[in-house]
Amino acid sequence: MNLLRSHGFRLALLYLALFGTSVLVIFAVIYWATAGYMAETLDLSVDTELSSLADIDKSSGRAALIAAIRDRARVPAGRSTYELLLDPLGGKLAGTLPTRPPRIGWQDLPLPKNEEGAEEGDMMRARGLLLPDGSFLLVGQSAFQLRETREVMVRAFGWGMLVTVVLGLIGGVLMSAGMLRRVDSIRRTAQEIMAGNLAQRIPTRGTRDDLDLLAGSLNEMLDRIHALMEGMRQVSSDIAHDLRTPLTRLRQRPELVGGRATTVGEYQALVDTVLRDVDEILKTFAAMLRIAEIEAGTARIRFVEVDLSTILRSIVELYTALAEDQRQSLVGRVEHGITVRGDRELLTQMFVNLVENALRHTPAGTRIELTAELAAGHPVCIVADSGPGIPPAERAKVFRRFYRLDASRATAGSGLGLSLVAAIAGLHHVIVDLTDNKPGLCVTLRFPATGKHEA
Amino acid sequence: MKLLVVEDDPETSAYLVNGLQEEGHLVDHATEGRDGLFMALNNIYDVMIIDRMLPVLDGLSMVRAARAAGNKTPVLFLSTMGGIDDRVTGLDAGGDDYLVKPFAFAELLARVNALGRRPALTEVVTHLRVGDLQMDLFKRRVTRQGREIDLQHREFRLLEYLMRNAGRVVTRTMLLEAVWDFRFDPQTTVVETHISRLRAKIDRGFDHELIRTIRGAGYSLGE
Repeated sequence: MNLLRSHGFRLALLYLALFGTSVLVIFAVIYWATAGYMAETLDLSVDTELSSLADIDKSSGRAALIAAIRDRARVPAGRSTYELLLDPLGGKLAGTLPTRPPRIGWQDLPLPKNEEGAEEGDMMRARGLLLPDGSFLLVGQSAFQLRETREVMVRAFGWGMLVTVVLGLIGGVLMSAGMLRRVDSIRRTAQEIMAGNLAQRIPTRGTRDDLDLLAGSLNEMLDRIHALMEGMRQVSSDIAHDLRTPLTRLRQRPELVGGRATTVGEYQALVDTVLRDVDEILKTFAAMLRIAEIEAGTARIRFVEVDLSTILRSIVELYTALAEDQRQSLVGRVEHGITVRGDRELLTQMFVNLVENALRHTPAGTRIELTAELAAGHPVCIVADSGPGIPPAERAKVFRRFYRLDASRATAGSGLGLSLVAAIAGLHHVIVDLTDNKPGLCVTLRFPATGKHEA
Repeated sequence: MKLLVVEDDPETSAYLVNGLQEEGHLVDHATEGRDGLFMALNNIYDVMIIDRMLPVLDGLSMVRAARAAGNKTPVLFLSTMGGIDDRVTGLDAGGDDYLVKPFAFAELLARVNALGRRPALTEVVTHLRVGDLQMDLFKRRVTRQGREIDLQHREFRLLEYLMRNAGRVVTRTMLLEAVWDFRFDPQTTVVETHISRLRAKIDRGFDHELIRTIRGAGYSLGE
């Protein structure tokens, strides 16, 4: 990326312009205040001199005035005051200035070239006064110091401005170059990811400054997207592998039976079977989408306080009759008042799946226990049965989509029940453990400490 | 009943409209939300069946607008499968019930019927009666032919729901929702178990059965 077009550099330029403008304003104010004050002082000094000479004329007479003017002219070089006295006819009586037509009041006159340090074109500030007898008195004072002061100020400001601009530009370049390097690294990473290298991450410096934090957040986002894409890939391969069997069956049955069927009753039976098959497939489909949606984690924003105790009691109450009919027993030992943050429907589904799993995959005579208690602030729920259990090697696999133990292949079910449990548990930050109940299976669900976890 | 179906997919809407007409309902049909809203506000319907995803004006906004205009017609939302938070948002927007596609037509029909004759909330019923079966909601007593039947708490609620919907088909999921406040599709015969226990108490020993199983749909209580 071009340095001069980078955001950092533009920002530096903008800041420089702003700073320069404010410096300019400050200078202007100082300049006008100083120059104005000096001009006033000059005027005052001219005025004072003029009135003191006029006083001499008035109190001591014309001769004394002429003497005073000559006196003043004798002062050595470096003096900057000039006088001119003309008689009423315009003849010069005394003074250091050349004769000129009398003009009353304030005026700016060219400076005689005899003054040290003065330059061509320098002016003096002068005031003419008509004395009572009609003669003319002019007093002037060189203004070249005022001019010089102004020049010094402008020069100083010019240099200052130059240094400011140069430093600002250098700073801007350095700052934006650093920024640019890091933004560039983010951009390069993004391009590599777009090119297909999904594992690429933005390098961080560990300084925990804003850009580092941004890079960290972006990396987390990339991880999340990566995980979601993995999930999507998993779902599509699941669909490819595990819906093929039921779909094939769906196709074969009408072909086989339809060829042989002759009566309405036989066709009716066929339609019923096909409908059942399709329903199974749709159910599997819905379950997969549901798992994918749960794994996406968006449901967390709707989490509310859920009364887990009541849900578990209701589940036990709902399923006790079924267990009795199957000559199994379902016992609930649920502590009162356990609440967790979560989604009521999903939590219900999770426990229902576990209980139904236990009821379906264990023989008559099995005892199923659902317990819930608070252990050091953590709600812990256990679904344990005394059935055949799951071999240790298989335990990690049962949460996979469509994974079914060989022993249970004959029983109905999509093979998604425990995947759904795992997804819901993950959504609620619940840790699921499968252990040996000796005999049987013990599923332990550890919830995060109540009231402390946020999504 | 007079029903309004707002659904943009031609196949689904034909399936719905034909099915409901075969059941003897009068069905109006709109293919997008704005037309649907217009029809809802200018006609009186018993139930509206509205798809969540509609062109021009989506289902949620349509119902919100209708509710804002004072329309109180019961609404059954239809949504695509998978949605886990759709139900909550649907009910928040003013829907009364909710069904996820694909659904069995029997399930839809049962829910539409239940919505259509939903009693007004102000109506306080203290006694329910279906044939020779009587329920005193106040004393929580059930008798059939004068013989007292002892029911447990949930059995009572199950029977109450069946009696309130007497003559209509109620599905297993409707029962789970109404009696246990659960919303899931059981993979076991858990609802059947409870129904058969209830049957044992109210039908066994009497000359005719009140609870009938409707194949592929659910149950119906009636003479």
